[in-house]
Amino acid sequence: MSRSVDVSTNERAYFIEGLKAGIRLNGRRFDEIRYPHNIHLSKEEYGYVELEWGKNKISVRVSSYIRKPFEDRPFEGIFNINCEINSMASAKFENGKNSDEEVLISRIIEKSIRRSNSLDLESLCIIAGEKVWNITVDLNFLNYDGNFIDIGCFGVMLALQHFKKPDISIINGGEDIIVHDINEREPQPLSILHVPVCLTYCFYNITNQQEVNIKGESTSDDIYLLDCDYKEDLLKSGSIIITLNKNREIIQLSKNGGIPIDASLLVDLALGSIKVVDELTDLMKKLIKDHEQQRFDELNLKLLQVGADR
Amino acid sequence: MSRMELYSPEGLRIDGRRWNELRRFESRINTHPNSCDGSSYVEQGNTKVICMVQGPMEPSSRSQADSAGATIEVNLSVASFSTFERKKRSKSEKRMVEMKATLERTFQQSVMCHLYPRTLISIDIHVLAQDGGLLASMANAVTLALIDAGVAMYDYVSCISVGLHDQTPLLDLNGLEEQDISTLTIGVIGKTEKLALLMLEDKMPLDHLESTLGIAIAATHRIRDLMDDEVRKHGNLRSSKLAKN
Amino acid sequence: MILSPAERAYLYESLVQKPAIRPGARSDHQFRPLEAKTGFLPNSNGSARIRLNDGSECIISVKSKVVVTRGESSLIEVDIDVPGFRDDSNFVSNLKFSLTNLLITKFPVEYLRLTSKYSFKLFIDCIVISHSSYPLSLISLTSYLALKTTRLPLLTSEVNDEEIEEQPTFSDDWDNAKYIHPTFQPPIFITLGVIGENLLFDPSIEEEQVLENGLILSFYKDKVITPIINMNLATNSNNSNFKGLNQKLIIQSINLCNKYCPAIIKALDTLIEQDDENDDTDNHIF
Repeated sequence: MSRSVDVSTNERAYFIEGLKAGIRLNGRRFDEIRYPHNIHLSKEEYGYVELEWGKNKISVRVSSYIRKPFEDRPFEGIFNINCEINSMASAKFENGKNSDEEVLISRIIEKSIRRSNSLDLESLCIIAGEKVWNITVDLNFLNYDGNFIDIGCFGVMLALQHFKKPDISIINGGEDIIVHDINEREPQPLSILHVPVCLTYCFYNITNQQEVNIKGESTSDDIYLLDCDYKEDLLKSGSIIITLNKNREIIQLSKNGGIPIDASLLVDLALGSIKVVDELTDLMKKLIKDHEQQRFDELNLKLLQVGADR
Repeated sequence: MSRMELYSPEGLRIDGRRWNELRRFESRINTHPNSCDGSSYVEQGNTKVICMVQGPMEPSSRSQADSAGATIEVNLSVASFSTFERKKRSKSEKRMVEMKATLERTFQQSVMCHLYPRTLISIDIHVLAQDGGLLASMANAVTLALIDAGVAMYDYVSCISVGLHDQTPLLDLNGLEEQDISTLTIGVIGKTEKLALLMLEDKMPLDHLESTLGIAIAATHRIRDLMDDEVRKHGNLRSSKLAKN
Repeated sequence: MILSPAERAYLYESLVQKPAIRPGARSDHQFRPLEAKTGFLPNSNGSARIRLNDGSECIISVKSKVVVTRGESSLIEVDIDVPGFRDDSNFVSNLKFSLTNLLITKFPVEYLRLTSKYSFKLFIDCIVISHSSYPLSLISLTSYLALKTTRLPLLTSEVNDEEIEEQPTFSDDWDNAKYIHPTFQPPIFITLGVIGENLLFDPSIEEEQVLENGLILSFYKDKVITPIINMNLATNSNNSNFKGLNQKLIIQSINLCNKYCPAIIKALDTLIEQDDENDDTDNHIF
């Protein structure tokens, strides 16, 4: 059993009453997320990102090396995501023991990003059947404040877009390769096909009558909150994780237990999420662009650039 | 990977079904009367699942005793011969843990757990053969076994998988179809539109979600009827035996 | 189910009587009633299920694979899965070792040879769905049925392929598939309980708890063969009656097995025949 803190009955009642009045204890609207802040995109190292999201804190590192591809997929590079959750983030996670919750978190992040082919694996191929890039993402959760999935997915996608792999030239008619030092040649960004964004909705049943909820026709008693914090997460009676991208595709849907949700409500939630997905995708794009610009200015690359502004 | 024609222009799938046809659904309950409190066997096409329920009983460890309600524990074993190519599977595989956790959490809500405080309901699932729709078949088998064990539930949890091929939803995918198109598995409580279980693993256009869900919900209602028939058939058999004595 | 001291004493006294009074009114050499079913897994070459009346149940599948003979250390691989026990626990590894050992030493491997280069490799996977008494004999009887009903596809290419590069080819028609060998009888294990002067066939869980010793005999081609193992059958409950084994009883047990085991084999063969007749009408396990 994890050493989680239980919420007292009074606190629970206070929280539920708040929801009935349309108020979240943290002052957000029901469908409002905490936006990431203190985002640190490393200047020294491509693919190292630290960010905070509410009180959540994560660090992500992308690394690469060259290896032989799997025999059954000679044209594809290899991509793994390692999720590291330990008791540094919160006492609720035990060291060295993978609880169901931890497995679910890493599994959903993996499904959202790896399984959905958001990284173009074929572009990682150097020489078919001989040499491919192996991209590894290490995701470390440093502090927990609810909703690891959304923030983890955001962090990984940001780091992948930030990452650049060294340029390569193939010599001797495909026999050998030269890996160019990043100081010698401008490194190459990864080819990212789409940017998945995970959104977690937590459900609360304010009537406290389970039978009514399960068999009832009305859905007005259900309240859903987007991006729950630590306390809201403890009090939830169900959750659903929707992963979407800007192309209006659902990447992944999962509901692991909890009170049943009405099908029409699910459709509404999915459609309503698009707005947040667009915002977060644009935010990522902007962050990367600003960072590039900053680097460009600092290194004074303008001096080296040749070309006519049209 | 060779691209097979999953859905012909004439509207037939590789196994000859139409888009809205289920596979053969066979179920039995009380298949293991002497070794457990409730048992069931479900065949959905070529997917075959045995489920056995023990309990509600006293938990062996104190940590499983919850004063607010019963604890539900699922043990999943997928036989190494269940797939066409024999493959030994470890229980700690992430996919297995995820399915186990999903089932546990789903039934924690669908069973009236508050009626059985400080008890453990242990569910053993054996997968003998798999050919698509594994999670759905397992959930159906668990529902039937819980009913056989006499555990109070709000209603049947009936499950089905559905895929989307181009614009057409395809119901109850088999193993070959599941490899190539994205699969949505849903579990519905009784004859409502409430989703107790939901899992989508691959891309699906957002605008098709509603129509896909619609057909899937209709299918789960059909599955519920089929399971209900089996339960009533078994019930009648038992009561006729009682009448004879 | 653990017996109380009083129950144990009562059961012990009734079992040492001459003849023994067994619970369930069985005679010394009588097995518990069992039901069986074969050939219910279309994805496997052979499959069988045996269930005893106390709910113990075992399912076995036999799958085959074409392998290069020289590359394999053994053409038979056995795997046993008992829910609730880890794969590397003593209980499971002992069962697995006993069955593997018996099959590997006594299996006529030449039946699996396909061509001069290739052979079939058999994967025998057991799931013990539930068990009360020591399940070795249950598993071995099930494996008898599974192996007896295993059908392998018919080879259509040349048997002598020393010079040929291609892999062997097989007939597409499943109706042409053959049994491993018409006269092939897989070896089986029989468990015997020793109590006083009595030898009890197929002891149940209650009997196991008061036995003075347990014997596991292997039987192949109409006679008892080695290994003959003695062990405490009550692996999951303690048995304070356990003591040394009188050598005369070993001789006696061999004679008994030689006398009664052919009947067991015959009964299993009859089961298979009956199942074959019903095959078209009922393909379900249950």
